[in-house]
Amino acid sequence: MVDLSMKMLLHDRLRFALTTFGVAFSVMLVLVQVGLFEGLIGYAADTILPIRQADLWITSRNTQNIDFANYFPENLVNRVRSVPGVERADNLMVDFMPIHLPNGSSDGVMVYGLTHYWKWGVPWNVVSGNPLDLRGGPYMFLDDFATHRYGPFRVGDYREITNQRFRIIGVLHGLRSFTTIPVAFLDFYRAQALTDITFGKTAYILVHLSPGADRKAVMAEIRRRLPYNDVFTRKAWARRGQDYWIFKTGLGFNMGMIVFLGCLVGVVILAQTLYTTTMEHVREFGMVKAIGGDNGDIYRLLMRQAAVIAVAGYLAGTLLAFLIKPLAKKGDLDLILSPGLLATVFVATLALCLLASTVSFRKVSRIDPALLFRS
Amino acid sequence: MKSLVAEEIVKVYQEGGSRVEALRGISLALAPSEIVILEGPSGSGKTTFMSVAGCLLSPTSGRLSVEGQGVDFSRPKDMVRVRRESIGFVFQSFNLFPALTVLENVLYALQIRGKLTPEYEREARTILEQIGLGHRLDFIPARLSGGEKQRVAIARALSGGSRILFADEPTANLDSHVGLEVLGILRRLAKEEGRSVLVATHDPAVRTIADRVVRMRDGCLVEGENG
Repeated sequence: MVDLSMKMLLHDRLRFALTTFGVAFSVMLVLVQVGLFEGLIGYAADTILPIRQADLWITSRNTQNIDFANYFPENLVNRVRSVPGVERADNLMVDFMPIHLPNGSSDGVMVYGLTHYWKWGVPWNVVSGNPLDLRGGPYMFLDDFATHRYGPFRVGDYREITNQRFRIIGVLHGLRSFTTIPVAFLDFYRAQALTDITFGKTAYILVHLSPGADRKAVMAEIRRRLPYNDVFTRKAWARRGQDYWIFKTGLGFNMGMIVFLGCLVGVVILAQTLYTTTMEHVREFGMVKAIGGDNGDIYRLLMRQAAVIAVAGYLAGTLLAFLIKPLAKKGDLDLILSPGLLATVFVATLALCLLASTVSFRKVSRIDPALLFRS
Repeated sequence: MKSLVAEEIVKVYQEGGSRVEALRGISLALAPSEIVILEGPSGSGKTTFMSVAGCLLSPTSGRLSVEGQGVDFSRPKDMVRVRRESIGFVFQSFNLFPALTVLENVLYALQIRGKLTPEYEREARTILEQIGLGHRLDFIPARLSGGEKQRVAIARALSGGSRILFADEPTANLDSHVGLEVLGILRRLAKEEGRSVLVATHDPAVRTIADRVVRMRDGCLVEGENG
């Protein structure tokens, strides 16, 4: 078997390398953009999905995402507790607060407050400390990500949230809000008392269903009893927050444009290269016809070249993306290169490269083998 | 049975509103083992006739029969079939695939013709050795002399058992000594292997191998025979 397509492709190695690099750059661009986006969007659900005990989340009406909490009376939790099918329900406070640092500066902190942490498996990823102790007084657990913004801290240190001192009694790891503001866990009532606005109020109610409870029926009953609140399943609430950032902030459109431009760059580079190659090899393609080949033989040849460039470009681009991953980590960004993303980008690369090869088809179909008679 | 019979071939081009009659009712037959020389000044229609007779170009009107089978010019696949099964081309500028070696140039032609079998591959190697290229099988065309390139082109044209060979100015890019060698090969192919050879040329030396010379001018046969 004589592989003319590969021989032609590798005959001009510099062009092959440059074309492959063009595709690799596009693949890398798309993988990094989408990977970073997935990482970023993942933060929007980072404090929702891990609370597996919370089958349902009750929010005030029209709350868009967990960071932008609105408040409602805390005693509504009692109505929820009395709904058949509800095994447990507790208030959760979430609020953005100023934190004062030892160097005299201030920053922001996303405060989470809950009464029965141990019942909800919150907080998770505990590096040191016992969450049970949060009930004991003005204490807090702080995620070690805060080191990047607040400077180093240790268990036993104090930090002021609003004007109240809290002792750090535990450290967490890997928890982040979408806005990258560090997360701190406090006792519910301590969190509630940080401002007057939240006095007697809560941001959310977490609901754990009884075994065998009809989730839809419970949700309907809660909606009936709390007509000014929204009720979501855990996943729906997480999705709502992510959708907010994707669709209501322009972030998704921006990311989509970058992906589109990445694809466009790859397709244009490849289409241009293949077309130029076709023009330069037009006599050879004419010869393919003269020895008994037809347009289909040449189309297959061009498509094979496109496929080889696609695979080589994809592998090189993916390698580059994996090399960038630790660099992103250093910049506190999660670059998520999931198998699904890698597979999707591979299929898209192959499809777009094959599409690019069709630009040359028209030229091929018009090749007049009689040109071979010209010297 | 004639290898190729062209009857009343007419080819008219429409160029920018003007009508150019490139072929005006050409009739020509090729017998097995016959070498026919097609002469004529530039623009006389030699190349157009070879393109039509070689099924590279469809005529405006006329009939073509190759190895006893009529060619349906309205069906491009039929033209492809004839090129694949019966006709080989040798061009003035060789038109070898520069990325392929000598052997691969020939094998690729077999592959396109759907004849890349061990039997035909052996035959291709034999032909290449007979024409003196046995030691050049792994060379790419850029490393060959003009004469060697033309011999590769001949071997490629014959691969897969093509019985009709069309050669366009096969000696034009060669010095006289090498040109004679190529003519010797063409003669041997016709006389020893029974292939039909049609050569378009300006080179008077080619006449030495001709069984018949036909001359074209302004799209017509003016010397030799028409029919």
